[in-house]
Amino acid sequence: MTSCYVENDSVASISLSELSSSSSVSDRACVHWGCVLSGSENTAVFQAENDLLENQFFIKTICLSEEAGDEMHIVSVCDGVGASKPLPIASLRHCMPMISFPGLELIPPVTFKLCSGKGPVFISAQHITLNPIEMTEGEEDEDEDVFISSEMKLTEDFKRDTHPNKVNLAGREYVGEHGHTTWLPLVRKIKQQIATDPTLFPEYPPILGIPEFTQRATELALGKDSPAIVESRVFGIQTVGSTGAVRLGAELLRSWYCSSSSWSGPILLSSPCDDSLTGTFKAAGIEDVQHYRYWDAESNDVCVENMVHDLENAPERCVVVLFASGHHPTGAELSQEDWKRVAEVMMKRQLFPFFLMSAQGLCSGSLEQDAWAVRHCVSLGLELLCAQSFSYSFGLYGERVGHLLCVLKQNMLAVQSQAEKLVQTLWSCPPMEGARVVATILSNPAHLVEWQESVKGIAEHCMLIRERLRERLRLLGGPGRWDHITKPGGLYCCFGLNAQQVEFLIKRKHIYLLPHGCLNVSAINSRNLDYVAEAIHQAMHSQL
Amino acid sequence: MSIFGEVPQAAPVAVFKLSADFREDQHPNKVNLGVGAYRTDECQPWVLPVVRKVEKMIADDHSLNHEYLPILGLPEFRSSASKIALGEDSPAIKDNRVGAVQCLGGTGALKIGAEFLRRWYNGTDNTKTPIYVSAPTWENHNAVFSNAGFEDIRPYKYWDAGKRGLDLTGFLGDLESAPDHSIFVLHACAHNPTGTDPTQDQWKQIADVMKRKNLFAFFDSAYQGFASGNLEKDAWAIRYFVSQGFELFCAQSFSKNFGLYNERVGNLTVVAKDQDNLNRVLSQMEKIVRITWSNPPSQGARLVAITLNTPELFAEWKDNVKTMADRVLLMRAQLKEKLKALGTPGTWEHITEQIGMFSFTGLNPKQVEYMIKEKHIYLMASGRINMCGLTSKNIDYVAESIHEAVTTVQ
Repeated sequence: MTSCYVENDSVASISLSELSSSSSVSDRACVHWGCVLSGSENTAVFQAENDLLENQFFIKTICLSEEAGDEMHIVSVCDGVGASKPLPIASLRHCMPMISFPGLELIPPVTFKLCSGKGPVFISAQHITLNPIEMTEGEEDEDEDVFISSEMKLTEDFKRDTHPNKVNLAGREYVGEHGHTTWLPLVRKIKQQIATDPTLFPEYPPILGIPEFTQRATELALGKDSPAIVESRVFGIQTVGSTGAVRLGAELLRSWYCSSSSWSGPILLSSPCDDSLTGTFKAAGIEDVQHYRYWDAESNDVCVENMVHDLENAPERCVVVLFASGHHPTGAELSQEDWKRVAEVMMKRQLFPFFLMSAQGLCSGSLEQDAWAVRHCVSLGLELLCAQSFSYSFGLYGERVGHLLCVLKQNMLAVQSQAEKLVQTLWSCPPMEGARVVATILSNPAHLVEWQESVKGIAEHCMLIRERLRERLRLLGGPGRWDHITKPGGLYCCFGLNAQQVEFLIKRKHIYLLPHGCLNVSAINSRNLDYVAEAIHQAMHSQL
Repeated sequence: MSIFGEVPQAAPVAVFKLSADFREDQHPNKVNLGVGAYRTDECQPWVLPVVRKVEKMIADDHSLNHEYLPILGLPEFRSSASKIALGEDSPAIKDNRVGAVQCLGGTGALKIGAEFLRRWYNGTDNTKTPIYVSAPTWENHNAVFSNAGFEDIRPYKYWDAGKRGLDLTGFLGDLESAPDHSIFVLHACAHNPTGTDPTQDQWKQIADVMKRKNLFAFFDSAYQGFASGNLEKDAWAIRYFVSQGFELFCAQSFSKNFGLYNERVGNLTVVAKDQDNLNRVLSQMEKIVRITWSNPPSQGARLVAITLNTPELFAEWKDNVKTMADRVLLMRAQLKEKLKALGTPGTWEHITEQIGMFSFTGLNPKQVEYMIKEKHIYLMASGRINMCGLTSKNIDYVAESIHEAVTTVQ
């Protein structure tokens, strides 16, 4: 027999530590719920009528009636998530007839069972309904907002969230086990050297950056003995981070691609892709942005067949944005065989590759391997652009060290001169500090070795977290393959979650992640691994 | 066949070409009066002592992290930089209607301001709004606004070559005839390249017309402190406009007054009618920054913020700035004296009347060519010289060369 005690309590009179304090929840109603279990009716079920997102269910107390016998009474519960086997949560006798729960949340439908004893046993709980979360209006519109706002909004929401267990898995930086960005002791040492170097003078740097930096960055990407370098068919531009490199590359294409004075596309980006990438191309005047299929939700991996198909059917001579390694936001990678196929199609259809390589060395631990795709295209004689970032591999996020690599067949000086003109309309010349640090490290054999070791360390750390996460999820018993977690390397990983599942994780579990369930694995550490794994498990297996 | 096979060679930027030619010149008496950076009396770039100090502090501070700065930049930099422009006790700041965006130097600040205006000013996406830049002006002004999408960039009368001074009548005339809501790029002080600024009275007249015609004031402030040696004096025009109730932008550069040319430290100060408007403007600027350079660089901003926010360092910095300004003033005075002593034809009062790094000598292109080719003294074809290139060792040679150029070349 179940009975429902309905009261209209205001939320203010209830202290529930589990309640979300997100300001986006507009209003709540709280209702008490109770049931009585006995020998004759030893099961009771609480069902939420509506969608999961609108309901929260908290067990408050389980209490043995005075009239009950002297035997041990055991109450077990199972909820809407996972384990079909009920879990004992209370064992009561007259000497200890009551147990209170400070705020144990269960996901409906919740089934209580009296496993032992004849009762009666009283159970009381609270059922809180939340009104559907409203989308906050932006002040201006709509198209521009959509593709730029999601990452920025997530960051803002995370900052405002006061929940003790909140986790931000949507960030761009690599964080160490302690939860902060790390950096090399070597970097600090070099910065100190720079700060006290009497020979360094403050002057406007060259518009395209310092040659010591651009040379090293070029060699890093292509390998010192690359045919393009040997044949002087490549130049590099120091930029303000990889965003600056992408923006500059986009401006260059807009102004000069295909002898056009105002080329506006089409440009093909992967699906999914970083929401600001679309914005950057559009801001440069490249309006026609299309997508090729990359991530496949069925297989939780890249689907090369789809990708190749889309490239085969792309307009000839369009520009294709490719991630050499470390795809953002999914982390999914192409094998070398896959790349060979892709490069073949690119050549056949005269598609222009614009590579993004933000974390060379961090994905596989090997600088060469992570740059293989770029080097392969160069060896085939393709012209290409490549936007590199040194934020991750040097921990120099704040210094904005980026590089735009340009591999051409001819006319290099003219293109260089036009690039100079474009740089002057963006930032005039780039900031020196970070580039100096990178150039110093890459030019010194001993520093270079130390740096490579640290990069490998980051790659290995990410791999370790991936394995632990996979293990956790496997133990939680959900069905499913977890290869997509450990197959790729680097920072990002994608779970292929739907919008509701992602919203559940953000709003209910205070775990912030990107659309499709893409997340930054480095933000998972020994302190939050269990919480995150359980939450993901819940999201994937409850009735949403 | 390259996809970029038909890209034409761009003309080199004049001032950089000048420096390149100077570097290649082997003549023992060569002088570089072209580039816009400060030089000591030994003709060396100068690391401000306060900058050296703070750089070391930053490098030794183990608590600093290297994370991305917020998209709009380092908060303590933004607010202290805006205070420098508007004054600590600015009523606009007290009213919470002043905000800022940390940018990549003055250029970056102009860029973000221009991109915002193109999208949201005078309707939405109104690329036809006229942009007025002074005749002459810093050559990059044109390129920044044009690349931001503005289609109509026009000159406003400014320099009167005949009287070697401000053409106020022409300036006011162009203000009157400008379409309402046009955008005017104003040099806050130390006009580049002429070194000629409106007087306070003249600024009042300019502001009057601009108010009446709803013209937008976009200040370019690259030399605050550097021009007169006094921060308040060099910011008078901006502060006057704010006191008159203008909403305005001010692109600030800390390259010259901090000697931080290579760390790209700039600030776009935004003065709005009220806080609500300010917040909406900043939110849109944030989106623009995100797809331009994402986050600004931390080194220079930290340095400036620490300096401006620490009283002893702030005092030391003002002192360093005065040192630079004073040397420039000294060179101006001496050059004028020497030309007068030589009896060089023409008037040379403008050399000391003009202010800041640059002086429009009044030399014509032929005379400039003579200076470069025959005397190995490098200056811009416009006759602009950088006073910082003058030293106690070369000032006689330069004065004599100017004398020769003026007397022998027509």
